[in-house]
Amino acid sequence: MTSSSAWKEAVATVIRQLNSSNKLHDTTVLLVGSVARRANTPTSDIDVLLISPRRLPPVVTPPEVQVFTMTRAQFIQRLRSGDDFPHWALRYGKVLADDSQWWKHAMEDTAADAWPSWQRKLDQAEQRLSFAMRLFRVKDYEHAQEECLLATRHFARGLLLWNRVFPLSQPELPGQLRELGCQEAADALDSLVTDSVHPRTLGKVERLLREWISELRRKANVRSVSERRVS
Amino acid sequence: MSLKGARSKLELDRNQLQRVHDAVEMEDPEEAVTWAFYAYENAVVAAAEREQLPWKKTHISKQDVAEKLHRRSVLSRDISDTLHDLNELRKDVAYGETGADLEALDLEDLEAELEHFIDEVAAFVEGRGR
Repeated sequence: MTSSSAWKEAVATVIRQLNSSNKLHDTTVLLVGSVARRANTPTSDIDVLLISPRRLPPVVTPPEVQVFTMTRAQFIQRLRSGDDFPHWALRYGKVLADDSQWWKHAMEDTAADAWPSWQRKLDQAEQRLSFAMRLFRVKDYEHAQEECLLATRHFARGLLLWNRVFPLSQPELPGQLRELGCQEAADALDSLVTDSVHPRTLGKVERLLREWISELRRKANVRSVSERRVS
Repeated sequence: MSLKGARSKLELDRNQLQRVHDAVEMEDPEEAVTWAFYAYENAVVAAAEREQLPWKKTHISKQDVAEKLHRRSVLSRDISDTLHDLNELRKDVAYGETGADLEALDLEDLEAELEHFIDEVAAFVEGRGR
């Protein structure tokens, strides 16, 4: 597991670079992802989100660190478009630097009941699944598994959001699915993070995912029709 | 798996290079970058297999192996940074977060450099390389 000193050291590298390029004073630095939730595994990246008034120059980091950069306008735009990532950062991100106090104001301005789009996650799940099957057809099973895992994670997040459960970090998703009674989806996620999945299993996960996505869309239609009738 | 494994990865590579080519023709950077990333990783694994260099199924391991292959003079170029950058772009695509970095990418250069790299790996695998 990434130790507390490891992420602190990695983040210090990022902050030093921002400082030396005179960008720290108006850049908000956040720790996001599983390390922020203290749910990281030995293979987890250290995810850092940088939000600044203007586009930042590239930041050089150790390989285990993933830096996401956004301008303030992009952050707000993505938040409003229902993207779950900025919503996640608002809820669970750990502020490491915010000299300009922009983050503090952003949090105050954001409606507490704002909710990311579950439909967006299902669309992303379908896109990744489609790519996974194209890799599968050319017999690139290793990368097909990776795309299948991405598709399953998108689906898991969509399903949780639909059920008004906010998705936590990646390693926590199977547990959240089980709490919701979705044992099969949780098992699929667990199996896809293992080293190597048999092509037959990949094919099975693909069929299941398509069924689950269709079922969720069908339920959403039914709910939408009944809500229209009530109103 | 060595030579057999290396050849099978190269076969995948040629197929995926064609997908990159199609995506470049269609001016579809999202497709191009994703296929290119996977093709680069498969090429690195092909060279590692031929060189009998251990590798793991993680992106960091493949970046590490790419650097080692260059240090051993198996490959003329250290493509570890290319792998890292393409992986970031691929993830942006997967999460619907593409931005200026993808827009700035020269797709024709991407295809040409990948093709050159695969040719170099193929020459090494078949014993015609350095």
